[in-house]
Amino acid sequence: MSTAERVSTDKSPGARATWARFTRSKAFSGYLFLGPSLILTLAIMLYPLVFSLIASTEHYLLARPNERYSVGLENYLWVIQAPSFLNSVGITLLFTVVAVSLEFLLGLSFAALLNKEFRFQGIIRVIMMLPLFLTPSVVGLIFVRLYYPGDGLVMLFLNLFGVDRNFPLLASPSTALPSVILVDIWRTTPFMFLVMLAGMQSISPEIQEAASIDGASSWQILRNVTIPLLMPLILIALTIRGMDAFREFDTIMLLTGGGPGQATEVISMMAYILAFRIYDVGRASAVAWVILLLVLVFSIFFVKKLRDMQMSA
Amino acid sequence: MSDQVSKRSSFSRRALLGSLALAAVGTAISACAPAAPPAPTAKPAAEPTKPAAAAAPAEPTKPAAAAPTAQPAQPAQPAGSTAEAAMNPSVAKGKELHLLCWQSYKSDGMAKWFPKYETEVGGKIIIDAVASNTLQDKQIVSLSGRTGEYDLTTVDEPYVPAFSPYLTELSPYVKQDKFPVEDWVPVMWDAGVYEGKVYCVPFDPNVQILYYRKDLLDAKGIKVPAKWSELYDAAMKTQDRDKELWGIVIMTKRDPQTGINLWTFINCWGNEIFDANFKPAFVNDKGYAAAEFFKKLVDNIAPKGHAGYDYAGLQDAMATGKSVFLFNWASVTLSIIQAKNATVADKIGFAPALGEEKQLTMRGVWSMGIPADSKNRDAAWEFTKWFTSQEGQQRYVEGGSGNSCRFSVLDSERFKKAVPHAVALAASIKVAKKRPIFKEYDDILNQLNIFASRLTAGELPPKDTIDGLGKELDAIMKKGGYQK
Repeated sequence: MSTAERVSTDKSPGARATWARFTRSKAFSGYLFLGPSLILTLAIMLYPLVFSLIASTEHYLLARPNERYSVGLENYLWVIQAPSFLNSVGITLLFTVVAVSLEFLLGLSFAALLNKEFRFQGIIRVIMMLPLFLTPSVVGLIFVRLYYPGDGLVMLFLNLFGVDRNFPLLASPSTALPSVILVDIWRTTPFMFLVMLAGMQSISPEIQEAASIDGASSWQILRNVTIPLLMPLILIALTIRGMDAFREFDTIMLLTGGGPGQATEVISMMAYILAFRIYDVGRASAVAWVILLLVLVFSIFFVKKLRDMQMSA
Repeated sequence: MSDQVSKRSSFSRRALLGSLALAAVGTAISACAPAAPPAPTAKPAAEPTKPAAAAAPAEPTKPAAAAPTAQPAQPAQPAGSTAEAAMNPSVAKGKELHLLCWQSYKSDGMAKWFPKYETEVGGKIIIDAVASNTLQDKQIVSLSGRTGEYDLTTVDEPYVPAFSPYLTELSPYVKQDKFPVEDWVPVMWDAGVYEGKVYCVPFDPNVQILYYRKDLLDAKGIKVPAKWSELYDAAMKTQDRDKELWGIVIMTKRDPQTGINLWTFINCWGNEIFDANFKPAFVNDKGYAAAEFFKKLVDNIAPKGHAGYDYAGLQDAMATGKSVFLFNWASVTLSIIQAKNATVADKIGFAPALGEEKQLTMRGVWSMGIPADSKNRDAAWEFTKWFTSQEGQQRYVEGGSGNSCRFSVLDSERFKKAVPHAVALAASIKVAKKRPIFKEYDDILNQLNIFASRLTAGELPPKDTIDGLGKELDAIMKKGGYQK
């Protein structure tokens, strides 16, 4: 009797029966179907995570691959103490709060305006959605030209109101960040609009009619009926957009490269510069993990808020 | 029953939200985490035909910055007198080589005549041209990841030290084939050498020259400036800011070129970036004067929207008659005078790099390197010989891609005919300054970019710019272990 056969017969009848039952069960088929994608997901997501976690505790410069060694939490200490990190966090928070708030207000307003039957509503809604179809890098390139001093369309338009058309909007410390925020608003307001419109259309018209019969004005209906009913959707939209804005990179990189000075250097740009310009993978990974923690705190806050809301409802 | 439904529903929502949050966080991590290059494993090879893959830097190297600034070029050799390295087409025949390079007029030019490689040598070149802002990313990822994706890559000279651990050392090839190094302008050949080892073969030297409007200077009886202060005075007399004719167009946005501009001013005003002990050597009155001049220049003679100009904008302004002067890389000459919208092409003159206390220009050399992980290193070397031959270099110049590093080409009538700025170029090459050979070059340049951009944007006064920059560069040198 071979070793394999002995091992096979050594299995207790109970275990064999359990295994046989399991292989015939729906759960087994489920695991079988899930398996490949699960392995792929783990390989794609887990490997970079573990790699960057290890790298974040190392002195690891791509330009000096033979000098790689562990430094414990030194990279994290450097990150926390670096003035450029604090500057980047401040800029990122400002960018996120201002951009997402305005996108939400605009998205909600457009949704409220277009949530009714009218002629050409389909065309107008499609036009509203167009910026969402463009990739961030394409948007960046478009706005570089639109903002170009002298002959950029935005500059020619502003010139009508007395603004010097040669003013470098993207390169002036006072206007660079607002100009970048404006681009983000243009690009992602349609997302907010889409989510709000979908939410509004799912609200039963009877509720609004009842409020209207009770004498509520349009503003009162929006404020006291529509928005409270939309609240779970609003929180989800704010969470997704908030995390998105926190990680903003492509458009800003193309528009300003983080300048002038470091006026628009958001935190993900700092990680990029460390990794691909300074080749310091250790510190770049530490920044990436700090970003992860910040995003985690942010998302936990919103998810908890949403859960509280559901509980109270 | 309703309780069960309620519980199930509550759990389901929570699970959904949890999944959403996890997915979003996961995406955030994936986006934020740097690319994962596997640890390099290649071992140096011993055979001369398969040179060492990695050159580990054991000790910090003394940078060229500490050395005297300009290295005069050696006397020119008679055109066509140099023998070429022996070709061995059998090694390259039937081999398909992948070349990673910068997508620009350089790659456009090369694409025109690279098919000749197939007929003359028997191999094939596949060009993977990448935009300038992503070329460096792609290079470091593919080189350090040892993907074997490329057999050849063009390398801008500042990155030779950082990329050297991942490039094939070419010294054995050079020796074996009696490569005609003596035909290379020495200061240009050095661009491919790090720690005494050849990693790249320089093929396109670039120096900054002065572009000026001959007609405007002649009309005012002003001679072509040789110093920055003379340029400032000439610009003040010839510009017409109300009609948007600017004195000079110069890069001031946050860009490597802006850092190089500040660097150039610091050097022209008589300072080095580092002293012999690798400490910043420009935090002094001359350094402050250099920064003050840069600020004065952008405030008074550059366009009002100077900080918004990119490379294309600078060239366009010169080609369309919107500026009296442009200080830019010589390789862009053809793209300025041959621009479709050029209105003053025949009125543009070319002069050597400017000086103040010292006359100099930063050197920038594109070189050809062979990744250590290439499976076709010998074939890639054959291509490198073919590409950098006299005929190859003439074709490169005539294709509008740039200049040549070879004496025999620079002195040839064919070159002078193809390049209208040949005289200014040759004079500037003679005062070309080596950039410091540091692995931390990018870190240094990044700080120069940030401080120069803050200076020109009016965010920092000149003195604070120099003081702040000095502190940052000092920290980089300390971290790199250079300082005693």
